[in-house]
Amino acid sequence: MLQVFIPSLMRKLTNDKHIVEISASSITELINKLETEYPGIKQQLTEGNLIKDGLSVVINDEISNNPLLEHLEDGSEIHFVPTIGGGNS
Amino acid sequence: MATTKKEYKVIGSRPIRHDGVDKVTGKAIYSADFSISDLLHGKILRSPIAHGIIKKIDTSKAEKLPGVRAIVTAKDFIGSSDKNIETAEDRNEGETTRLKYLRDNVLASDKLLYIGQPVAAVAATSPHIAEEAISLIELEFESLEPVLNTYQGLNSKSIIHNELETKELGTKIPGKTNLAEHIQHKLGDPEEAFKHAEVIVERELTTETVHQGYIEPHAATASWSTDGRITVWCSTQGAFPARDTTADILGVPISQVKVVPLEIGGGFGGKIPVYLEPVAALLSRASAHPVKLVMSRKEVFECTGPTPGTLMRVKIGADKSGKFLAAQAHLEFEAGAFPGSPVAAGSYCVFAAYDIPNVLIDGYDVIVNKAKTAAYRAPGATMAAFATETVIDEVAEKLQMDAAEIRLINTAKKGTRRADGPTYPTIGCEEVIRTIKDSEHYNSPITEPHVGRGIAVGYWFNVGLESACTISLSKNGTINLIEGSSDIGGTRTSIAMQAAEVLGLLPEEVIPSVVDTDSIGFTSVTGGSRTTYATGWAAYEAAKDVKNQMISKVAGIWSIDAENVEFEDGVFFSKQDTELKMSFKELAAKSGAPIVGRGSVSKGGMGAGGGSFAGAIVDVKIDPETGKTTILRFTCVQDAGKAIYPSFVEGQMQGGSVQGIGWALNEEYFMTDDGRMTNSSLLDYRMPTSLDLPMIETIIVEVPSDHPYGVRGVGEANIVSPPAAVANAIYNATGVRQSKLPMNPATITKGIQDHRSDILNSMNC
Repeated sequence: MLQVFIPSLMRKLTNDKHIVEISASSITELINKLETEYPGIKQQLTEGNLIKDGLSVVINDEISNNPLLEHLEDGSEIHFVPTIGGGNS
Repeated sequence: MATTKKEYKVIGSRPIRHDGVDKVTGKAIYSADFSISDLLHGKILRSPIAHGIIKKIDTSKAEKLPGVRAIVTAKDFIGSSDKNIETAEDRNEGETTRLKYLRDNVLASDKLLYIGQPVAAVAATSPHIAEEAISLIELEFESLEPVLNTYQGLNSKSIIHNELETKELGTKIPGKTNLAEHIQHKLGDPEEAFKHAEVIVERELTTETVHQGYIEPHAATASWSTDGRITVWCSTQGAFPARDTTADILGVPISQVKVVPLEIGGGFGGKIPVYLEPVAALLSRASAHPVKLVMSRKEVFECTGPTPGTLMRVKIGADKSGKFLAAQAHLEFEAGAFPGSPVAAGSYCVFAAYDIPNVLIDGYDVIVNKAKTAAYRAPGATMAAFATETVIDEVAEKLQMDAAEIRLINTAKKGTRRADGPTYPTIGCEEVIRTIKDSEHYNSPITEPHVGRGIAVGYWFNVGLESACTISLSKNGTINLIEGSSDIGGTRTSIAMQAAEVLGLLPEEVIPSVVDTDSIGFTSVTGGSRTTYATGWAAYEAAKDVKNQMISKVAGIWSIDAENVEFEDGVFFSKQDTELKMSFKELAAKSGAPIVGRGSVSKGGMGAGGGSFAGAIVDVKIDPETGKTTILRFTCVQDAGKAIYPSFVEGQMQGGSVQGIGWALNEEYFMTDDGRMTNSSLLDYRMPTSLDLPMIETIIVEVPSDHPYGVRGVGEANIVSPPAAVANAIYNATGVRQSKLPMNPATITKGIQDHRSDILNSMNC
């Protein structure tokens, strides 16, 4: 199972659950399963088939450059965090 | 203090830097020095008001001035109309908006958003003619009410961008607003945890707009050839990001643009954005000549990104033992005229030094009618630490605890879960705090009146990103190291040293070159404290590639398997036959296919290697009559992971500390009610000089990161703690808590007078 940490601004969709346990081998599968359980969350996380601008995916404490291409190992921790910007053009 | 044990031959030494001679003899070419034949000179007309609507730009009189070769406005961007951009197939709505903001920041299209925003540009045969032509351009506008701070931004009916909607995690909240983004991190149940706290301290603090204050002004020269190729020579922290942004703004493919980075006279984050490059390119296309633009100091202050003014509320609750139970932060940062303040980074760093189980952080990115903010050394973290570290000092005082001890018992360490969710890898926060606590400075007595000591701790997460290096082996056994990282703090040498260590060479046997964007693989900015870490890692990989190719070559000469060849102390030898030996130089001289090594890395985004922690100890003396603060002694402690070139690490620690002291005591933009900066010169914008400060003492801590040599970038974390440390020292000298930066004489004197009145009033009661 994966441990998925739900961002505080999305917890209204998960009945205030902070952590959701889901079995998935990719971020796409993970998001689809989240959507089945918590309708509306996919729209918050994705735009088209991509992770929404302004969101970064952290897999086991490391920000992923290509989250949709990552193979997720059982027991992994997944976070969706705001992308750090500011100061760049 | 050193926790690393490994012995190196080159790493940790202090050789002569490769760029030293050119820089001390004045031969190094900076962007304003650059010249080329047929060069024209450009000047920019800038907005005289903070907020308004452009009605008309009449350039007809300026065009008739002899010597004027071209005049451009936003209309000259290829596909610059919103319609064209919006219908481009590869542009989504967010990208359309981003491009419009980028373009409007280099040439305004419809609205005037801050005093100094570029409106039109002239190319002429001399700078004086260009300047005269600028004065002949007639700009008609309708003034609107300016929005100059976060309170006005969040409460005024004056909306700066009509299309702007607040984003929360990338999702737009409908409704006109000046709030560009709301960020939130929540860990545990802070509301419940505060109920169990023995002591709670909550304070509101503010900071003013300050500038990076780099000595070299922005300058750029561009040549747009008739074949469509654009070459830009400029001062930039990142040639590749400058290329990409310039291409975006101009609406041309990145392959059409080459950026040649010249030497850079300081950046501190402020030379990541592009300001002049696309405008010089437009002028070059219009005039069929190369065009050079150089900013004045006034333009640098008024028109390039400073770091924002902020309003912050921080609350911390602790139990009797001093353990933090809960923390809450409300951070409002001015973005400037376009979205993108460093509030996300500030939110990330505000409680980063501590293990706190219950946290709520809200960050707000607020649009105001000031120049778009840019990165400034650990952007966002310094303001956040000013709030957190002064509140922690007050918690310690209420619990009658030592200031270092309370930080130590709450320190973040490997496995600490951060407010944003993930946990830390190996970090050196505890080691930094313990070094402060055990230092001679912290334990020395204070004997004079009106003297106080303060400490504070700060964090910068550092970034990894992409870097590439190539190494060519010469027949004399030296190597040419090609890299794409602008050298701001001596990184040519710190990167060369990493390659030298792998290949058993002396630092001077490596010849490093920073090259243009056509000549090396993509390399991200010199920023985020990433260059010695990530480009150094690429150089390490390139050197390993050279070594492996040489092992294959010598194995071929000896007719043995490469697995049986070892390399140590500059000598290749057979593991099986002790007679088979060849030095690096002997092998380099052997004929054969040229040996070229490549290193290419992508080391993730924020938090690369766990980031770097730093702390400050400062002694101040306050003149109670004038409020003048004298820094008596200052020590910076920082985790460098492994100091590749200790003098450079110490230099970064001293530089960051001095900038932090300037921010603490003097630096601020004085703004009029209509949004005009009134101190836009280095005479009136008071930065500390060597005459104002004692020698900054440094203590390097070494807790290795995941880098092959354990490097942690050291460019930024050192600026984070000084303002808070100075504030805590001023409190200990005067008994007055500081809640506003800068803590100038007027602020301190007023605080002392109010404090005396309070004491007298309480005595009368």
